[in-house]
Amino acid sequence: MQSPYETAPTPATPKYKRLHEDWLVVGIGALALLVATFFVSAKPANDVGVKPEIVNTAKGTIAKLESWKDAPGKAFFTKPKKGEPQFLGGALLITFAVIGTLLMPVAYARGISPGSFLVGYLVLFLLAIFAFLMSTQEVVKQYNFEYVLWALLLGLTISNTIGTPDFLKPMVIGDTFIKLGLVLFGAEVLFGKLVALGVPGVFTSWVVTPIVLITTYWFGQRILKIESPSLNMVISADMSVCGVSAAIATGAACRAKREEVSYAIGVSLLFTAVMMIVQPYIVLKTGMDPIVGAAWIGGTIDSTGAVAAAGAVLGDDAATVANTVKMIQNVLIGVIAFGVATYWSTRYRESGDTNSVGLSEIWTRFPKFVIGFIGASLAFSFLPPLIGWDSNIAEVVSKEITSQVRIWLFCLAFVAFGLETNFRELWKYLCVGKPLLLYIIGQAWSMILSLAMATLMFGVLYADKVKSILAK
Amino acid sequence: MKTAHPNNQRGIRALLGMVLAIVTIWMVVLPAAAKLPTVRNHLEFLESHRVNAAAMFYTELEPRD
Repeated sequence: MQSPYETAPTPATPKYKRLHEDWLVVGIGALALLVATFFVSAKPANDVGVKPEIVNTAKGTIAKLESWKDAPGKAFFTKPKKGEPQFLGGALLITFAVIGTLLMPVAYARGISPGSFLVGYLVLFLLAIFAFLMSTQEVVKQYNFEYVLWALLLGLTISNTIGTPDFLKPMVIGDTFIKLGLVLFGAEVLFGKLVALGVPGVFTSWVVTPIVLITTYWFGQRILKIESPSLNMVISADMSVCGVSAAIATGAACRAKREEVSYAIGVSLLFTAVMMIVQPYIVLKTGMDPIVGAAWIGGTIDSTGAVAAAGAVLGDDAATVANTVKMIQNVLIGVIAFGVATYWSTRYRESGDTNSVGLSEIWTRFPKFVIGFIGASLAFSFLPPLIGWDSNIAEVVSKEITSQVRIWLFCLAFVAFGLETNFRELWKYLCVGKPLLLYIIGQAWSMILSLAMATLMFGVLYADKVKSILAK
Repeated sequence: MKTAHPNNQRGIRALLGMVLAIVTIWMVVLPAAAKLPTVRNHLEFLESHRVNAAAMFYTELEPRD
């Protein structure tokens, strides 16, 4: 079965074309990030000592559907704090045009005709809107069942009932959407966030997480003897780092099959929905220090939104700690993706052969879009002060502009994955107990280690320092 | 690319069945669930704390005041 992150090699597609697309995607992503920076500027403050105001002229340009309870139409209107709700039709058209423009060079390089591109992309875009509509229903949203799940479900529904229509097939390129999304995603991985809570934050997120990841992967390979190393890695990363985003990034880095990524995401979302209720309950019932409990929640619950919801139950300070620990853990995703891509390039051929290889072979195998991902992360983390920018500009660009484009690309990717997945292939994973067992054991291990580290750092060694940070 | 190509009639019926299930769940079941006191309280709690429980990454969270 083909990995979703490989451009389909056909007899007419020489190898250089496969490499070409990765570099093309890196180029498009870099250009998009550069263009996005033109919309954001720092307006100097009149008073000395006051931070400059960051002005984003593109705010709200990329459509983001709102939450709704019983009338789905409300998802298409903004919910402003002041003034009248605005219809999102214009924003949806702009979003369609922006993402279409980003995808055009890829379609051209793949030899997709303009007609096929337009029709295929339009249908995928409409399905993505539908997936967002499903994910923004308030009950669905509160349990963290993210859009990727519904995008996958919609794609699976079509491909496994009437079959993917021929006119759609040229644009069913989930791998490309993911690669481009990941290059943009890199700009959100800001290393400056690492120091937000000082030493305790780093220890809880950057020491425990890699230990859990490596030991869980080792356990899966040596003890459970999971057949697919890439499935093992995606589950281990998704469970130990930050859920769906980690599954997508590491899945791309180790060229996991689309069914493997989908399975890992499904399991993670299911357990997250349970843990976001159970963990704060445990903290409250056991009388645990809320700050320690919050750090524990931030270090163990997979998804960022679920951490925010669970942390809020413990109070404002606890919510800040939970969110910050998770944010620091989020930043780890860049290092993990790079590490996994390097490890896979040195160890695994597509056939699973683990013989050692030379440097040139490692370079040939290395997924080049990961360089774009890391490059964007490093550039947005360290370049602004070097070129005299206000450091908040990079954050506003990535948070308010490029992250919105990235979200659409991930949604399109999972619609496409669904459209090219046979449910029987996915069902095989659901019927095997080992991956589920790996997730459960890994999560239990993560909970034990995180609790020990959170207690040591936030409850014993740095309790006063954390309190002083929170007081600020 | 592997895609299922079942009997056309059966496929259309299955697709319609799925669409009906999705519409029923999202238009009837979930709105009804949202009115249950426990769920409603939790939704109000999240809204008052401006928590986006569906955020995938920290950049998708709303800034805390």
